[in-house]
Amino acid sequence: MSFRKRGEVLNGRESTARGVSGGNRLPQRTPLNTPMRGPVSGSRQPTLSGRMANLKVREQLPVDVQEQAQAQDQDLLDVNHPGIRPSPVSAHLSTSTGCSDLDKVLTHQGLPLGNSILVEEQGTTEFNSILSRLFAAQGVVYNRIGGAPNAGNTHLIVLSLNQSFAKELPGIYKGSRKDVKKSQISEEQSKISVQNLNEQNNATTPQRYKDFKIAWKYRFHDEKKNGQENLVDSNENEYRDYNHQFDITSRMMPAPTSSEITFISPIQPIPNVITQLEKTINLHSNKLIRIIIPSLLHPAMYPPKMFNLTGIIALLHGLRSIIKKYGDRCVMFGTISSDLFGPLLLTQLENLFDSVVKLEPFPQEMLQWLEKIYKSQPSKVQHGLLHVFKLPVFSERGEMRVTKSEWAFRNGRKKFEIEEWSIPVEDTEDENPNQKNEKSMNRPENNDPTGSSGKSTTISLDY
Amino acid sequence: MASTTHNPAILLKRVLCLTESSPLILCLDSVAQTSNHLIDEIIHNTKTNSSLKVIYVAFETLNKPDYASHFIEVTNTSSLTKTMEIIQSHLPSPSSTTTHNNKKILLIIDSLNYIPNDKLAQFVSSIASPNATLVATYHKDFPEVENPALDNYPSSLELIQFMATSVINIYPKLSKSLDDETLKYELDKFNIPRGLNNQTFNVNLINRRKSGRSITYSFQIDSTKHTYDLIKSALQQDEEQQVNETPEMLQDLTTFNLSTSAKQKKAKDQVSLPFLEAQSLSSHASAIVYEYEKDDDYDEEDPYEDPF
Amino acid sequence: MGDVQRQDLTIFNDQSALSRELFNGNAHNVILLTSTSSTQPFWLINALIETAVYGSPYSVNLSSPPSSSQLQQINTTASLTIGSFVHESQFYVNAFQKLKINANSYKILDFLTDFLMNHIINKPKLKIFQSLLELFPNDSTSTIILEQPELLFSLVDGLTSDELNELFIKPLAKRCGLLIITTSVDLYQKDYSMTKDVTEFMRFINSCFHISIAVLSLQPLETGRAKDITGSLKITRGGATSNHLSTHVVENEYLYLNEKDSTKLFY
Repeated sequence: MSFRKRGEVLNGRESTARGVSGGNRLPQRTPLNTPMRGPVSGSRQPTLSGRMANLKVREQLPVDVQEQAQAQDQDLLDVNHPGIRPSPVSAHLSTSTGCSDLDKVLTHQGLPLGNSILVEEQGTTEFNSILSRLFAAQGVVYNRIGGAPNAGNTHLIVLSLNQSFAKELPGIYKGSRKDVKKSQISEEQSKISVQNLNEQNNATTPQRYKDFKIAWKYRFHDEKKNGQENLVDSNENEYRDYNHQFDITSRMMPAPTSSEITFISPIQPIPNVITQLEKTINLHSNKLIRIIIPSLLHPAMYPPKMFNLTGIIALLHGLRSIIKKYGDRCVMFGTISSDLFGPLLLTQLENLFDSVVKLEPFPQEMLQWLEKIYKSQPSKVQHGLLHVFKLPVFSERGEMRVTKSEWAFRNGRKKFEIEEWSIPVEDTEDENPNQKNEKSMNRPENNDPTGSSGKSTTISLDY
Repeated sequence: MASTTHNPAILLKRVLCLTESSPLILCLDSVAQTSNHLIDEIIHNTKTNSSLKVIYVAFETLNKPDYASHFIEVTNTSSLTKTMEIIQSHLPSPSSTTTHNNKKILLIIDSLNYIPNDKLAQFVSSIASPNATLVATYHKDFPEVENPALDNYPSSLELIQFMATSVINIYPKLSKSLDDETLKYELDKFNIPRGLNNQTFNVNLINRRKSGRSITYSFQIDSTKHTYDLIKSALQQDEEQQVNETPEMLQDLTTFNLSTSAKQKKAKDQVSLPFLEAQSLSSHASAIVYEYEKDDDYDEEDPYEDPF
Repeated sequence: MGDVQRQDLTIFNDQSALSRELFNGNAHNVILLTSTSSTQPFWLINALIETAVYGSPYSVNLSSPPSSSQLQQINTTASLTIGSFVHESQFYVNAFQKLKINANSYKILDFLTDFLMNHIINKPKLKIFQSLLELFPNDSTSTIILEQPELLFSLVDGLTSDELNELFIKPLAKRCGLLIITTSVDLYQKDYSMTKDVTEFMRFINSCFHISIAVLSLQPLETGRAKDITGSLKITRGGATSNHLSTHVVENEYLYLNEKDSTKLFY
């Protein structure tokens, strides 16, 4: 698989990317085409032989056409964008949701470009707002990796009236106090090599890289513990800026500015929303666009008439249109409290998102019971279940990817964790964590969700 | 009991042949069993009647059926005046006296569900005609749009059931693996089970008599063989077992032959008894009909001979 | 599932998935395809498109696309139009390239991209549907696939089911030999109650049933997710009579497995 070594991919990609995207601009193509997606799938899957044929045509094109094609390439994403990596299970490029476990649940190690996700939440809890802030923070971090924030690589569009959303984004997790100190030391030691890695030579990045490595180590550890096939491992270094860990008790410093986040009011007439959105996307050409709709249809923000089908569903149809139109560099993340809505509105909403997950927080009694069981390991108490209704790419293709009550989530200071759910065994003895893990691994359906990513990887290898 | 004195299947047959006077035959169908096979059955029964003109009013049917001589497509349900005018143009005017020699007209409406609730009664009465039989389908599982301005007005289903002279409620003949409850559950999810909309199905016939009485029977119709079998309720079956006389009981009682052969029984069952015919008389139930026969010695000048 | 006998997709009693008689120009036929969010119909739409173009659903049960020599367009004059309210045209272009369907044999009407802005805003209902209808070719031997027209309830202000039928669905059916309507039945899987909007949705799906000669229904298994089965494909008779055809719909139920971009049918 070519993405095992980043260098290889890049070489291959750079040449094909130009060529094929040029091919995509042939007259009979619609501008809807997704040139970034194209080259990667082209290099990975024989199915797009049509594109390869175009490639040949492309080579014979006169020089001026080539130049033109290259000029058009400018509004494409940089292939070295830190927030983009190929999905291990399909031919799509993905970007992280800011929550590595959610990325894992989505099986693509993130949200494939041109796709959208809806996080529903039952009850009055606000776990979804954490996920939307993580999603936003991750986008800002990408933007700041690239260089000066003004010329960055990523732009956030928030459909909300709540401008303070920008100030509430979490900062990057710097590890425990001990870790912070350690990292300071090692930073000193490895300054030179870090600088080599960082082409942009940004003074603030080395620190982040160091932290980031720690974050990856945690993840290593977790994955090994789970006995998971760590297909990601070989890519760890290639995509190390892909995924960050955030500390939700901290604030992102400096807070993102209007050059990084654009707020658009979702309660204007729909054409205005769409026009503004499209204008903003075009203004930030060749950037990754991350659209966030926190608390969709929150009654305090949305007037009653927006709850009509011709209000919210029409708006989402327009948004879906935009995401597909700019599918090579655009993703959307929405959250909603599902209790407020009847089945008709919910099914219509879900229908327009490419993936849908639902958080079902545990009731008080359940939490108390879990706390009792895990009294020696309070950090193991889960906060609720996560159900998957739709997965990007696969559900649309026709695969049945509904998994109910197979995942549990836990919100901690440094991480929003999602793990396989198994009802803990009430035991008077001190629990052995290893034994417990084995138990959960033996549950038949557990093989499924995690196994599928591993299995599907071999699938794409087969191609 | 009426059911013992005549064969109810005759009544159904008469309704389906349109010989029974019933200006509005309402077919209540559903996703589980549509009225298609029943309409086919009516067409089968009336095809020998060459003087019958079939007009098909299509709210949802896309293709003109072979048997229809006119196919009227309704393209605007919110303004039905035009549709009503077209239909009326095919009907003999009720006032004209020359209509008696006219052809009989069968007017099939594929679904009344599309007519707004407040226009339904008007629509049906405007196209009713003494020489036309109206066979209308209504999907009983089709939700009706509520009209908040007409809170106390009856629902379309209630209205049309009230107006109909015969109501044929159609329901599927269920296979053993499917019961009513499961069927309803699956259909509520719009998960249509297999084996519905078969050529064999059940109907419940309500026939309103001129006397004001209404008769109700259930039948199973096999539209491939064109047979109608009476479905007896559990109560009726019980009663029959108690009083039923079998041919054996009549054997050797007297020297007379009291029993009926199968052939005789069949012939007997085919007879339409006079009270059935009485329904087709013109509306004045008390009228005395006097027909001159050749032996009648009627003197016009004799005032005492006036039969009226 | 290698050892399980694979089944051909047949809908009509002449052993075909789509009988040629549907396209003979003598009648207008409708097939209703219902699906859920967990069993989406993309593969089946593809199979039906292949059948309309090549006469047989090659992609079903095959792990690799057939060679181009196998693919002989059965009717080069008949047209195929896809109108989708949920998918952009590139989505289908990519799929059809994969299926090796000749780009000249279909037309994609993208009712997603900029649809609201270009077709709906500031236009009266009648005008909207008139201009939409004109995008479809008028050819009674052609096939039209309409994906999720129920979305129009959310896009056109005050649209009722009866209007949608009269102004769009029925005129569309009259423009072709076979109209395939795909619609989601997710709502009915839930515990719904009758509201004004639900009434319109239910009236719509019911009237679609009554104009259809067949209903193809994709459903997940009642038992939930399974490794070797995606769901069931059920073929049942619709509410419209098929007396005008010499063939009729054969009721059937398949299990199917959709993975790695391919689909296998079995019992």
